[in-house]
Amino acid sequence: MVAWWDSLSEITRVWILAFGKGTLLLVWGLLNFAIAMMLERKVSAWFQNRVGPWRSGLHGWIQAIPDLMKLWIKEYILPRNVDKPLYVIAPFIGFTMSILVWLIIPIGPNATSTNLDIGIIFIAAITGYDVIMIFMAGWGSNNKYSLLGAMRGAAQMISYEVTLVMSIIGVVMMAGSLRLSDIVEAQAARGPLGWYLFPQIIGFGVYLIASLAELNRAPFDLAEAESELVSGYHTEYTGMRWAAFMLNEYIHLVAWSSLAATLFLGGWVGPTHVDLAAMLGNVVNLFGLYPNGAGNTLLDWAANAQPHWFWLWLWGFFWFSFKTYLFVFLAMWIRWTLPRVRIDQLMDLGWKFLLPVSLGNIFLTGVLRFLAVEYNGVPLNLGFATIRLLGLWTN
Amino acid sequence: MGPQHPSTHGVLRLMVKLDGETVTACDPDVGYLHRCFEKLAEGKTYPQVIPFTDRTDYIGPMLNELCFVEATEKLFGEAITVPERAQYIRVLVSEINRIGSHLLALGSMAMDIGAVTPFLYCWRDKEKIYSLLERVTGTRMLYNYLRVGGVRNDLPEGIIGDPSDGEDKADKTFWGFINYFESYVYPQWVALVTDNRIFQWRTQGVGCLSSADAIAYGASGPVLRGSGVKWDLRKNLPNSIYDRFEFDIPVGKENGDCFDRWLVRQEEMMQSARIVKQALKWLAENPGEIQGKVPRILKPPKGEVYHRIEGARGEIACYVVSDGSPNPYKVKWRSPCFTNLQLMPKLCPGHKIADVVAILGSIDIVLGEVDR
Amino acid sequence: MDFLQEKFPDAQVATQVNGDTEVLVTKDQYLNAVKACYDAGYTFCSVVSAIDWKDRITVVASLARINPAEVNARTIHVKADLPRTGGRIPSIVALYPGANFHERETYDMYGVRFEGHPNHRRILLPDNWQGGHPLLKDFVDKRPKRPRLVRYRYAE
Repeated sequence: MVAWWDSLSEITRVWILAFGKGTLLLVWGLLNFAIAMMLERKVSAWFQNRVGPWRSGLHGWIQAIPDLMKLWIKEYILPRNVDKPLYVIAPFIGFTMSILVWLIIPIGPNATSTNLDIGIIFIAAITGYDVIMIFMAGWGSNNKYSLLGAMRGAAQMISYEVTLVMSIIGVVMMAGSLRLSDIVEAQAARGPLGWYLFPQIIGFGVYLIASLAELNRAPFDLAEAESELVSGYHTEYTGMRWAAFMLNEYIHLVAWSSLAATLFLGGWVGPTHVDLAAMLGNVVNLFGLYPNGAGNTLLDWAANAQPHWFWLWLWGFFWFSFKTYLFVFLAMWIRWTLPRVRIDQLMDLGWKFLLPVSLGNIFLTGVLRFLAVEYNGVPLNLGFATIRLLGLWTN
Repeated sequence: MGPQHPSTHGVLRLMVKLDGETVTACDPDVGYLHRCFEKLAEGKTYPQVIPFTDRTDYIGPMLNELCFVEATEKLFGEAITVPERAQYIRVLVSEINRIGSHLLALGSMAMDIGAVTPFLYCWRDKEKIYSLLERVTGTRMLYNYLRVGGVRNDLPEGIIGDPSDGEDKADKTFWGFINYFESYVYPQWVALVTDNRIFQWRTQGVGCLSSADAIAYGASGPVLRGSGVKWDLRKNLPNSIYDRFEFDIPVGKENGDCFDRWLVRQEEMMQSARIVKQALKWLAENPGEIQGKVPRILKPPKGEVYHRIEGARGEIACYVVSDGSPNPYKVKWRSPCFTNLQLMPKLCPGHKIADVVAILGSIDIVLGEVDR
Repeated sequence: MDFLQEKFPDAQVATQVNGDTEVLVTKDQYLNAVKACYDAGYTFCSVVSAIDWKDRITVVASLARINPAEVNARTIHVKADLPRTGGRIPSIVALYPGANFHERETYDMYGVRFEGHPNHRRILLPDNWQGGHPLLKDFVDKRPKRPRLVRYRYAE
């Protein structure tokens, strides 16, 4: 097997790896879509005092499969006066882009699909395509509701892209690199609770709001505002084309949530079974007060264990998924609680409030890091300073 | 915004002229639900008209029945006296209907603004009202319960309940429902929607209506009260026994906006709950007749009467002309939503599309009433 | 109520069963009578409707006062008689913008034309409905009858 691999030329190897990664990414995206969609339906149902899908499969949890089959066999209606190239291509642009975001996200230790040096910039570049997709869909549909939705959506997404990238720059400054795996390792190096959540709390808040606006999710779902514009920019789509829009939305949701987990919550970093054993040992030993046989065995085992890389990766993957889905749940929670914002209020919020706040965050981070580096060891902790400042400001 | 649209509360067509996102003109086109109520009523006898009145405002039907039944009783003059217990039962079911109607108004307005969950909470509570009224009248909606001279049947055993009934009895006894409503539902609405800043952004400053305009355009009900005019037909022109109840009238400020109308409806629900409690106390202690003596075939003496009551959405009135025969000669139904809809061309211009939906929700129309 | 009797001495003023006043004026005095009510404080137009007696149509404008301090203020109904076909009467929309839809409905249902109405179209029925005016007593529904479904009976 290895001999065969070595016998291939470089180009062939690259291509085979590329196809493999592409397939895996596609499968990963679709799997996440299924889980996120089911979660959305069930979670929204529980919030609204009902049960959601119930009859298909284990209390409705496999509803995604019958839905997918239905969308597959649905008739493709192509309205007569649409702008054909735009109408047909639009859904698939978004879908492709949402899968592309997963290229650079570290799923576990040493497990990034393509560890680009310019990770963050890559993501910012990709989100630009979503704007194009929305506008193509809205314009190409030849429908007044779609056009309104598309105009709103495009304006909203462009505004919040800037804010989004600004909010991430604080994290980049602290880690010193644009590469996502470096950011995760920098957080791991800061210790158990060294997540960038605490020093970058302002950036985190801005990121949350801006990413919800980027994703066109409530309270910012004006582009597809159901009660005003029927269905916004995807009114005229049916069947698999509409499914592509849904895929785009949910895969993007999971992708941005995983980005939040990576940038602010430490990504795949979390206690492995070895660490858990050590913790348990400490607890059983009552933190050294009453050392006993069981506790000492655990501690010894933990100290000498050499876990296989697969188990480490699995633990990393578990923590990564846990943090990602925490954000997914948060996004859903917000969606089903808050009403929708109006377009001019949305623009006000983005340009007049969030952008200055995120710029202020960058300024603050820069100043404090400069001070920390200049006056080596000044007890001026970035997180502490941020929170104090927030406290002063909100009073 | 055509007849089929998720937030026009029925089949309403709004022709909205836009300049970008701003509305420059708005013209409602009604008539999609016209079912010829007034023509049909001329061919039916007086008791047969009562189910038809249910179907005009199908969200709070008892109030419509009350208007028609009382108009007919006025035609008879002294010949028919409605027993006191029947009057109290009428007030009880009318106010419960008012609470249900306002719950739906608030729920659908919240849903139009974007918060979908309160709509489902409104249905959770309306289901309890439906269960209660099903035990009293036999149907969940469209009751056909009031009769000329009284009500059809007395309240069933045990439905009034005890003032200490809690949430578990909310769909079994009236006291249980009122306690559950006051202690759980009302604070939930306030916390979830009214105090929500995004909701306030969406509704404050939208659709401002001065009190002079409100009166000139014939607005009534929460739309009129939301503009600062303290006019409630239950107090200013009391029908049946509303003058025996103690309740307040919530009023908005002078240039009422959508948020004022929302608050008026929310507070009115609490005041209706107060009335219900007083009615329940009286009903628990005073058994009695529920139907006065009426002739077998109702033939009111010749005459005309115009009876106005305070419905859930405004002033419901009916002009009944009788020529001595068992069928009414003419029934003109003045529905509040039809008149309030005239405010749409006045309030919408200058706002954005999203506000059109908010304004429509705050005027709170039900197409059955608009088109009859 | 008395001011009406003073201003229009040959109008017939009566009291309805529940205390409302009704005033029957001629078609020419209709607008003046309504204006007199408006000046007397009856600024709320509750409804504008019509009654089809078989030999004439009576247009009724029900006007009320909205004064929060007043209890039991009764309504005034200003009535005017019109011929059954081709009746024309001034519109009161200039004084009471709230009468707009009601007058359109009266036109739609009875065929009474309101002069000066800004938007004189049918409201409940479609704009181009050719069938007459439904609430008239001699209205006949001329729409073609739709075939009813008949259950198929097979020969035994």
